[in-house]
Amino acid sequence: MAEKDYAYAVGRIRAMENKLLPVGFFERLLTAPSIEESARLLGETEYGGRETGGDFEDILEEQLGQLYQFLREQTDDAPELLVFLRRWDVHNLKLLVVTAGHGRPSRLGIIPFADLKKMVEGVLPSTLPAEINEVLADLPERGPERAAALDRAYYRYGRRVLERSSALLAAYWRARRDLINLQLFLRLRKSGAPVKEFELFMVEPGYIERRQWVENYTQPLTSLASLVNNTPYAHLVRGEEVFNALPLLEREIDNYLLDLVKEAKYVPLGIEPVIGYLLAKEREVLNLRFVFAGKKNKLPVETVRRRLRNVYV
Amino acid sequence: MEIRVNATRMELLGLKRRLATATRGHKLLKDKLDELMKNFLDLVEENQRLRLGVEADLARSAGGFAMARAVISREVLEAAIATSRGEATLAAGTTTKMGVEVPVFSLQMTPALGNGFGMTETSAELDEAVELLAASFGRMIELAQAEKTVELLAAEIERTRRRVNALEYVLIPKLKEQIKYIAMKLEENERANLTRLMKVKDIVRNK
Repeated sequence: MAEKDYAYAVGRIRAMENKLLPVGFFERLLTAPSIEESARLLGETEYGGRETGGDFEDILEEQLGQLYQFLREQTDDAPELLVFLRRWDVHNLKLLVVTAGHGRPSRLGIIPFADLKKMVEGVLPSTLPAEINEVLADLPERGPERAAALDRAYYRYGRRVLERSSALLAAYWRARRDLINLQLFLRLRKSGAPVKEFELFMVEPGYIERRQWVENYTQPLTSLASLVNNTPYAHLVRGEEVFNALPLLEREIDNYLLDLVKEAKYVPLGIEPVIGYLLAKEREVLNLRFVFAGKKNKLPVETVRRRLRNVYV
Repeated sequence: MEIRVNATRMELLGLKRRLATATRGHKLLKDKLDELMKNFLDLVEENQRLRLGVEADLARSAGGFAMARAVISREVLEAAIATSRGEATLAAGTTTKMGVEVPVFSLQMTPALGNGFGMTETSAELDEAVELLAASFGRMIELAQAEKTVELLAAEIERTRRRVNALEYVLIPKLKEQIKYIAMKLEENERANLTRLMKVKDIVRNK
């Protein structure tokens, strides 16, 4: 699809970007005296006026569902957009092939869960990406290997689609893959997992090659700095203290990825602003979930504040 | 109180033997009770310390789960927990403490090295919450062991106190009473015999 095809969508997105919640609003929600007061404040925004029985989870999920539907309609199911939405299908696929259908399927998937089940059973022809079909055709024996294979296939699929269409989105996807590998590297090392576990869960590499990750896994943690040194996210790994504050590193990573995609605001026409808005809205929902989960569980304000991510606007 | 006992020397000897045994038993039980109480109080303190620790751990873990729940959707969280690869084996045995059979639990845990649902969808927040919960699980088992031991010791203390009281306020006073009764009865018999002999001697002398 040519860039001009997204002109209307970009125009709509530009108008909607102004309605994204500003950073100060999260502070207001956070310091509100009660969860009811926070809900009242949220009710005055785009999130208000929904009949969901007061469960903030349902409100946020419904909001995401509407956003996905809107973006699909505006872009006529742009392949780049589908890359980002397919992760829910991958989640549902994992439920089917890892937990034999047990668990709660996501309602946000592109393909309804019942249809996805028929595709896995071969009753319906598959409309899934080729990379995922390949995995389904030759499923590993055990659950964790199946889940890891589907994750790897998903990131390969994203790479194929995004590298063909947009330099900005390709850079974003590359950084995302590397940063997922970085998180896996640190999380698994912290839990004392052997290198073969890391090899199992690693996704398609970005700037840092698979071999480099694996070689460094058994080295002292100081070698990690030299590993990420020549990448754009070298600043994220500052010494060994990162090892003890992984949730905060996750926040830094999310902020970095959002900064990357913020460049989309300067793209006049193209799919990038659409994806930028999608990620911005997902980030907004994440921040709202932090605030409401914190309020619901009566967590200290500072605990929640430390985790809040930067916003797009 | 009516005393139904044969006022014989043999009975007296038997009762004296029973009194000696009861007194010795009372002393032993009293010592046991004191020692049980001492152990019980130590255990209650330990139990209190463990409970506060477990409650704090669980609160931290619940907070961690709340944050993990914010980062990842409920669908992912449920699937990740359902496919956890961690294993736990709990061995239950017993040991004797102050003559009371108390439980001993031994927990072997294999840490979950990544869940079976892949790791790209989960987050370090979840890892930390699970780690906190796993750490508190060991202490929860310790707490269960301590609480059951306290419960069993409390029951034993109650039982021992009832025995001590029964000995102190029922059996020993009753035996003493019976001994006193027989002793008086025997003395009375002796006095009656003596009086009878004196009377016989008096009759014989007057003839």
